Amino acid sequence: MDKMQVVLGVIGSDCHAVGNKILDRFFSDNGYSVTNLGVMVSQDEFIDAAIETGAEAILVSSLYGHAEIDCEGFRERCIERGLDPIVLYIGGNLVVGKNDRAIVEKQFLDMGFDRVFVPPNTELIDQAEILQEDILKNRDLSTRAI
Amino acid sequence: MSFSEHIGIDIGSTFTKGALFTVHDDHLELTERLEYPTDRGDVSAACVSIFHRLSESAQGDSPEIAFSSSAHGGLNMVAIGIVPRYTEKLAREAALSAGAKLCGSFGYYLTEEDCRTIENINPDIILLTGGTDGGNMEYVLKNAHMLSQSEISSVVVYAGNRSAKSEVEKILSSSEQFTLYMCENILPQIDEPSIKEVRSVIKEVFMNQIMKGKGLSRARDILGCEPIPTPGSLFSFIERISTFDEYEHDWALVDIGGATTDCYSVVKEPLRSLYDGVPVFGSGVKELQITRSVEGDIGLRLNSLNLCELIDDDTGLKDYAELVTEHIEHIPQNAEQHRFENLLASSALSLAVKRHSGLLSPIYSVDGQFYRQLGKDLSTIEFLLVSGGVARRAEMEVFFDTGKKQIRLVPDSPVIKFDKDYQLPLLSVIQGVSDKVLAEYFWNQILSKEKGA
Ligand code: B12
Repeated sequence: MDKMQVVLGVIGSDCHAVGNKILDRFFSDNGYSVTNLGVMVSQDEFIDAAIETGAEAILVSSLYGHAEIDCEGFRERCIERGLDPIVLYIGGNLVVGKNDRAIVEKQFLDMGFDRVFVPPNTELIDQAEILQEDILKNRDLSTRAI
Repeated sequence: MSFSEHIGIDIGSTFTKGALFTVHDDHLELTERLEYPTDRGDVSAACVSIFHRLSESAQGDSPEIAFSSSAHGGLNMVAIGIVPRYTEKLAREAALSAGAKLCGSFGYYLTEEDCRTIENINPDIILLTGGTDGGNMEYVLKNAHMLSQSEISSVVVYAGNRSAKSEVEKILSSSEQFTLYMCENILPQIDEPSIKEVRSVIKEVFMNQIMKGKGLSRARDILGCEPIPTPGSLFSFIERISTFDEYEHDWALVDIGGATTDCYSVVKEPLRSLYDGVPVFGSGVKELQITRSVEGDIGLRLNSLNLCELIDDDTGLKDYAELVTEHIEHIPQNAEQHRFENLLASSALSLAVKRHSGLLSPIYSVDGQFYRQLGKDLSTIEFLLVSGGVARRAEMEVFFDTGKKQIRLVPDSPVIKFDKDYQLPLLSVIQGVSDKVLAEYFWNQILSKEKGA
């Protein structure tokens, strides 16, 4: 079977580059074909790259605390531009200050992300398997739709 | 002691030009140059006469012969991709660099209306692309299907996702309306554009099929070789002479014509890293080092009135522009007309280069301001070489208004040079001279480093 295609990047005007490199390595080593857009990636750049590469998931990072503004309307934009279904993950230090993890998670799930990884839940262990399951679930959905 | 002779001929829509070049011991020189008006009824005629004349001038009896043509509209192409800033953009670049006249480009799904538009364009070649290797297949499959359902009949070059290749081939070969060429993907990976193979296939198609309808068969039979599209030959020439460490300059060629103006640029680092100390980020597909753009509304004869609009003048420039639009063969007769011609040429040059250059727009972030770059950074360009009939008589300068909010990455302080003998198209078409000899001649004779030489 062909490798699953995923797009990776750090959203907005966020330039924290280290975690992004680790994520690239982690998902590449675990069987994915990763298109890494690096830092300072806009919503449309994620979507453009996902369309062109036929990606089934977009993995968004945000470290500098402005995820809420940067990710506003991301799911809707994906749908509008024909990326439906698509797995959307987000991780990092999504908001400023020490907020309750559950609240932050819920906030981003409500925005349309499928999974949210905030500290201390950011350690990379079984994300590769979870991602595969989520992608397969989407494939299943789309075949049923036809 | 080595010696060889080379005849290069270029059939343009108004003039056909030819030159005999001689190579003595790896030293190239221009021996003779000729030009005749092109007969629109028989575009081969002037070419054949020039060929006979230059063959007589040649010392030996087996000079190398090659010719190019831009007559009868050259090579008309339509480019199809998916995302505008990825494959659609690359498909356009590939078509332009192969020397085509780009008559339309389409992204995402082709609609029935798009297909009718293409039908009306009636292109020589459709370049169908989309998807990285292993990437998106839906769009190319659907688009191939749309083409096969349409009334379009043309050559189709496929250079999209490898995984969709055989399926696309099946769809498009199911009817007789297309002649198919299958190529490697122009975007195998999102940050790895690759347009070389497509370009050579397009040129091959032009030679084998397209030129039949362009009245060139007689020239081909008599000269004994196949023509290539003029801009494609210029592009390859630029590529050939730009691969040497000793001639590492960023530069651009601007070919100013009567109706259109072509701009070719060679830039080692098309993406800038800093502007005013502030980081710059790119976006979309990687910019290519060598690119061509065509301005269909910039020209010194048919489009000279467009240029007038850019120039503040109340001394009669507009009347002159009207005159030359009406009489396209007009050549300036007196000092005043020369001044007008210089003004028009300068603004054609400036505008074409400005449009070819990239744009910086500010992004404001928590960490201060950054820039996003779209297009190519031409600020490092050292020379602007002007070619075309006007290069022989006009004097030019460049003036750019670079904008406040958005910054145009135009050449910082370019030196303007002229292809005084209008020999570039003729030099470009000859193949039998080594890249090194060609590069030496170009850099030392045509573009010698002294200012204004
Ligand atoms: C190094 C650093 C910088 C460097 C970055 C250099 C570079 N180019 O990479 C510099 C000095 C430039 C910098 C600048 C800023 N920084 Co800073 N920076 C850090 C620091 C110390 C380390 C970041 C790092 O590399 N971590 C190591 C990597 C491996 O971890 P990671 O990035 O978290 O990524 C992992 C996980 O989060 C997770 N993950 C991330 N995304 C995703 C996505 C998915 C899908 C999944 C599954 C997992 C996942 O996996 C990654 C790999 O293990 C952190 C503090 C800290 N200790 O984290 C602050 C920190 C991130 N910075 C912070 C801030 C505020 C800033 C600035 C705004 C400061 C300012 N006012 O100028 C600027 C912003 C600049 C910008 N435009 O982005 C704050 C963010 C606060 C918040 N979110 O609440 C932090 C948390 C410091 C703090 N405690 O205040 N910073």
